[in-house]
Amino acid sequence: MRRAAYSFSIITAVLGSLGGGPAHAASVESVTRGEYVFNAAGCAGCHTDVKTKGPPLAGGRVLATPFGSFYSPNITPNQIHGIGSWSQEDFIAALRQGIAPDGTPYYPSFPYTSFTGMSGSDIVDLWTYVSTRPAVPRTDERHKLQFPFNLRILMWGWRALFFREGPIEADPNRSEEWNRGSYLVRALSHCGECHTPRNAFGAVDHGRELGGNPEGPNGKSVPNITPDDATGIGSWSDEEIVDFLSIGMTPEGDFAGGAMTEVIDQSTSKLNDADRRAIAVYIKALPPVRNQPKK
Amino acid sequence: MENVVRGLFFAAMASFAVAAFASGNPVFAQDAKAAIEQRQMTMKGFDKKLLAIIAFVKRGEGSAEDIAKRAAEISAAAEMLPGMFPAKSGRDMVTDPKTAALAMIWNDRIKFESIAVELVAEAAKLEKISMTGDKAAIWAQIGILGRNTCGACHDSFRAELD
Repeated sequence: MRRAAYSFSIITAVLGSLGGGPAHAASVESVTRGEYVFNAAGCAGCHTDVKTKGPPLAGGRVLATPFGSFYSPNITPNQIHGIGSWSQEDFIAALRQGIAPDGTPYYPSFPYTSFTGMSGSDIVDLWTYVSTRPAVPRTDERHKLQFPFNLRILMWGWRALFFREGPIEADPNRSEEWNRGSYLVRALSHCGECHTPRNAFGAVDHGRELGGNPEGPNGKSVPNITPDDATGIGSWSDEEIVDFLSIGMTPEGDFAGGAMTEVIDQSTSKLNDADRRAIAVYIKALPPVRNQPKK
Repeated sequence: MENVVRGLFFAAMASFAVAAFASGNPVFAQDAKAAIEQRQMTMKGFDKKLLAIIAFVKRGEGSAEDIAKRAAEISAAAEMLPGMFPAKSGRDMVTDPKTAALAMIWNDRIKFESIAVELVAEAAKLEKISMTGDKAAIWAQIGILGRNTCGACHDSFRAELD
């Protein structure tokens, strides 16, 4: 009941800021759309410490990488420990530019490199939805990184070399379905952050998009999902990809394990079938990459 | 007379043990071989039953009662699963027949058996949901069962298949 009252007060506050009246309906819709965006982006996965049964979106989940351990931050609307004191502009800058409200650059463990491609309306809807979540007073942990990666100032150089800011532009020569799939895969669902190999500096190698990554999250290899017959998923039909994204079952009757289980639980199983099909269409049209990423 | 019988018995046992040792523990090997064959047959049975349930959801094949029975069979067979993984039946100990079972099964037996218990429970849930004939709910439960038990177990305890 308290949660419902809280959500209502947040919605009311958002409505107030938008001028009431007709904006009321739009804001409620924005929360609903924002929840869909939230699920598609899989925010709950990284920002919740499932291992210790931590509260949703309160952060603390560790991501082990070759550079050290990153800890996800609290993104609940708590004023002190979360993002409750942020403005909508702060939120947009975080996702679109990878810049924190105090002007420091984020590490790319936060996939702003993909989220930069999100549409402005999706970012605003996401902000509206996240603002309705229960606030949790949980303090963030500091990342534990090796020298020199612990020097955040180096991120400015990294950004100059590897970060290109801006929303994904539609390709007029492709179908609407392909373009939707491109948006989901490359921006919102940020599939490449795990499935695309990275270079020595931890930047995604766009020339081998979704070609499999031997050094995925927590040291595990992540499969090649390009349509290569020998090392990718070239033999999968569109429907088989849709089924996999829906319940995690492969065409061989096996099931997803590891990190992909979470992605399906918290993200792709919550997409509508049209979006899952758009992802399949986009993936099937990718150039095949011959790469077996098993370690 | 009693001593003669006892002596013959111990002599037989000793020669059996020597023969077993000399030929690479054929007693254990036989047990392991049988266990590997039994569990591989059981897993194939799971596949077959799940595919029958999926055929109901996707193409309307069979009835709600049929697929509920399949789910109950998965649950019952899952009860027996840990017993099909006796010691020394992993891929590091047995090469014929081929097995992908990792030593981790015996090193982290609690986790392994807890996944088997979860399979029993999730298949029982699938049985209940199947009786309703609600295809969307059955489809979702197949996914929960598959990811949390089949996928989780294979991820931790099965070697990558060739």
